[in-house]
Amino acid sequence: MARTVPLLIDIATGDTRPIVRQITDGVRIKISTGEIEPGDQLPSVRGLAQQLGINPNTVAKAYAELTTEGWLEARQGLGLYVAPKRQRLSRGERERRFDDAVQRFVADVVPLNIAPEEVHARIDAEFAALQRRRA
Amino acid sequence: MSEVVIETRHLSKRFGSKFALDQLSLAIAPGRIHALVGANGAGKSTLFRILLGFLSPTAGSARVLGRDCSALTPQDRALVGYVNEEHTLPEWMRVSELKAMRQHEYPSWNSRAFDEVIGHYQVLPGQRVRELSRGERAGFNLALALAQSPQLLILDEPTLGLDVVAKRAFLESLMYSNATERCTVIYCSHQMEEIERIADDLIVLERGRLMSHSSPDDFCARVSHWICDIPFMGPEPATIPGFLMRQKLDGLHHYFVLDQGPAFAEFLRANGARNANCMPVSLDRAVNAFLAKNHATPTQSR
Amino acid sequence: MTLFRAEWSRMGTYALLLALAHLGGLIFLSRMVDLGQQNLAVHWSFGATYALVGGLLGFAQFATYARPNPWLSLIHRPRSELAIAMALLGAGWLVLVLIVPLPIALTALWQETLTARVVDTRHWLLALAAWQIAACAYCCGVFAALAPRRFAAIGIVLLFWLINARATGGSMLVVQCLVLTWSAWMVAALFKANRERPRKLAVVAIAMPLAMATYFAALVAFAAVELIWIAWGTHPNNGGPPPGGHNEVEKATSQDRMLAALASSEHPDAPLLAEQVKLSAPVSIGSSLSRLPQWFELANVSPMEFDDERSGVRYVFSHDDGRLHGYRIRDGAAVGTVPHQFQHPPLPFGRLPGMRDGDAALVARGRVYHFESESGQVSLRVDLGDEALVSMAPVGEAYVALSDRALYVFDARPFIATLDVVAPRARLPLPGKYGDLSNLDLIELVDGHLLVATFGRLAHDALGAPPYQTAQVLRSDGTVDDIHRRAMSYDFGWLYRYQAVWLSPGLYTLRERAKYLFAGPSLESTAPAPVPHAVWALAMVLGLLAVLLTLWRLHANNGLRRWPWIVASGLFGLPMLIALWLIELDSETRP
Repeated sequence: MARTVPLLIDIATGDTRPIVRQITDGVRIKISTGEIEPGDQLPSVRGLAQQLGINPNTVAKAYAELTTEGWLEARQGLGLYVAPKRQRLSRGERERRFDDAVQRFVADVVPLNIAPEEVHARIDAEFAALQRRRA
Repeated sequence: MSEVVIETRHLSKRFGSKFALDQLSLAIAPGRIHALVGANGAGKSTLFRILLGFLSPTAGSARVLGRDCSALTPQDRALVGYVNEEHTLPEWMRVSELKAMRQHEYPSWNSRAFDEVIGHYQVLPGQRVRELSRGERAGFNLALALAQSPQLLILDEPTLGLDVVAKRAFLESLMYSNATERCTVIYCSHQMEEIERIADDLIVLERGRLMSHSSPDDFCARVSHWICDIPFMGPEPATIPGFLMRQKLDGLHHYFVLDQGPAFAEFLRANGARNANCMPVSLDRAVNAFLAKNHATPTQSR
Repeated sequence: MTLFRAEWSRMGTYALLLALAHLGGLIFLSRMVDLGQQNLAVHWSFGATYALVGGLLGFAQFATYARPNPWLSLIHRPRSELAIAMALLGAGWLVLVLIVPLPIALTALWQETLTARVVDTRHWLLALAAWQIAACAYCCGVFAALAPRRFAAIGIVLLFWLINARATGGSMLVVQCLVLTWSAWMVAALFKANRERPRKLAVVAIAMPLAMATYFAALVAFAAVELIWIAWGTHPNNGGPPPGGHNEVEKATSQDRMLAALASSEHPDAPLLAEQVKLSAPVSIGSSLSRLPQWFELANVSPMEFDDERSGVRYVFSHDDGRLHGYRIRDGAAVGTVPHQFQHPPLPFGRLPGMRDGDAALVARGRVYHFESESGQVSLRVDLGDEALVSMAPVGEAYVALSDRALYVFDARPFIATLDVVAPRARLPLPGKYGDLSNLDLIELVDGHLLVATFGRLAHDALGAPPYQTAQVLRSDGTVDDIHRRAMSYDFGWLYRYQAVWLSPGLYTLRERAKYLFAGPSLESTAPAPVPHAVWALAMVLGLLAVLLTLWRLHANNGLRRWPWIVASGLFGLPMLIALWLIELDSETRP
């Protein structure tokens, strides 16, 4: 039986993103980066709520959203687990999010006056590191 | 349990020439934590006092757990818990005595709920209530309220004046108690970060009127923050659709508006804006903008 | 009930301390005087102290609950409001039992068992009376803490009733019980979640005292206006009363009073009598009694004890067996009882002719007794039957006695010669009610007495008879010559005299009824003049005005709530209207 993995996310009140969104974003990144892997058990609703100091209903809502999107799967009477890897987003959604992320990134980086080559090299290095970690 | 826990219809309460509640129609579904937000004097305390039968309404009706508020029986009162910001408890009694008294009074006393909550605090049975710190007193009061197994628990700014640690302890003992899951909680507070953490449902009152009733996220989503550059005077607030609040900072106009989609950009451009950017807002700012709507703001220089 | 115990635990320690202080005070005072034989003024000061303690306790106990949040916490529990009220009031009453009657009873027990002092049933009942006073004041204090400020103080009306009630003994206990019940009812009327409006039916409990308080306030305001008027210097009584009126006569000397009574007489003897008056020194017969002693009264009119200085024994009357009990003043040792059993409670009363050292005169209603120190016996000397003797004084050779119905002249000689009953030489029925009598002046004539009676004691008030003077000659053979009867004019108009009546005839009647509820025979009865038609007319107009204003005030309410108020306004006039206004003036209608 899989053990519960610690979910190292934090939420901030006063963020423009609602808390549900902060949780779903956090879990998605953890799964995408391989920090938690398919088959890992997530903290219980109550546990995570206590960890974050928020209403358990909010956690339940976030988990429900992640389950619907296919990131997590519920096992009857056992809890929630990270679902096996597959394409979780539609093509259009994937494009949109990618677009968003690139726009944000560019907007952040351009004012720093860094040469495009340096930027490319750095991104390559980051991805290479991710690949190594996942392997 | 009835379909709605609290139901008011066109509830009005007048004090002299001022309306503390103005045609308030509110229905609160059972279960979960409902946050009640409003500026001071928005009518929250008046509403609670009417709901518990301590004031009679000028007009309209109010029902709690299906019973008219002016005819609450002792049995009904056993089902409604109330915790106020002062945590009024008999000062001269010992913790154990007060607990024994409440246990005797309330037919469905839940000792486990009491122990569960009081476990968060270092309260000794032999201590007198007046010897407790503010936080311990709040916790003890909450423990008593939850142990009464209420169907409805009204908390009127319970964390007012508590330090960070005590506030956290209070919220945790409220949110993670099993007893909380079995009742409907009305939580009234001015602390947005508290509300963001605990509320399933957000009710905004202003000047005795119901301004909004939705989930906190939906409420946030309704309010948008637009920043634009208008070389001249901006449009008159009265002409702005969904206008809540505006600020002029460093020559840029900031508008907080309600229920406005991307079309609002067109409106701004039509009023001479050179560019218009929209950004989401946090709950704190959303509520702030919402409640600032009717507050006097410094008039813009013309 | 747990709430009762909780409340008791709140006050118990303080109560114990107060009880000990009270006991200490009583023991100290008992060392100095016999507390069982004090007069009404002393009892009043004790009663006032108990009332103060009770009132403060009630106010302090409930002032903490009266604020909105504590009130909500107190009432919002699975108990009915009246059960909560009973628990809290019960605790307060029990505290008062500890503080007030318990020390009194302990003191009485000590006096009964370890001293020779007389402790009657009535003394034990004092403990109950003291508790009822304190408990009643307690309820008024509770009411003051809970009620809206605009009528918080109306409990004073109930305490005022206690002070003014003329009932004595067991009847007074019943009156106290009534007042206590009313005060508790008043608290119950307001003991509910929403204190802005009293309970539907129990609104009577508040409306009646409130109307009465308004009525008293109006009378006090009238008096204040009059005081200002006097201070201003334009009042009719400023600079000497108006001539021909009762005030002028009452303020005059005995001689001038007698001359005034004869001045307008056409009787042939009048000028001669006037000459006599000018030549002699008139005697004024005053009353030494304000109230008649009653059986089993809780407080004495004046101390019912006298000292036989010859043998050093103090005699005290016991209501329980109707006898005098003696104890030695020096060491307090009992010396037995005087066998005579009195039919009415006696009071020590000046001296009779022929008394020796240590002897004492005692008057018991219409009978005068002579206590002889040497034999230790009591003998009846004067018997006036049902009448109440109020004064006895030597006038020249004779002894003149005044009862509430007649004047008697006795020879002094038989008193000295025998120990038998002495029959009066002459009797002159009072030409009026004793309650109206303001002065009685007389001079000795060659064969009898000239008496001038002035009736005008309450001529400024609705209760008094129209003021008049009579001049009569009582001859030695017992015949009476009416010389003259002179009507004096009123110094005050009817508007002034009947202010208490026209303001509200209903409340006036109620006030007088309440005052004399269960009261025994009194020296205060008068022969009131018929109420002038103008007073009734004014009262009717004001009553009608009250009804119309009530109709206007309640035009928005439905009939059920309206009619009782309209009827009450008709009965009790403007004060009831103001009571309605004050009760209905809640946070909504307040500007």
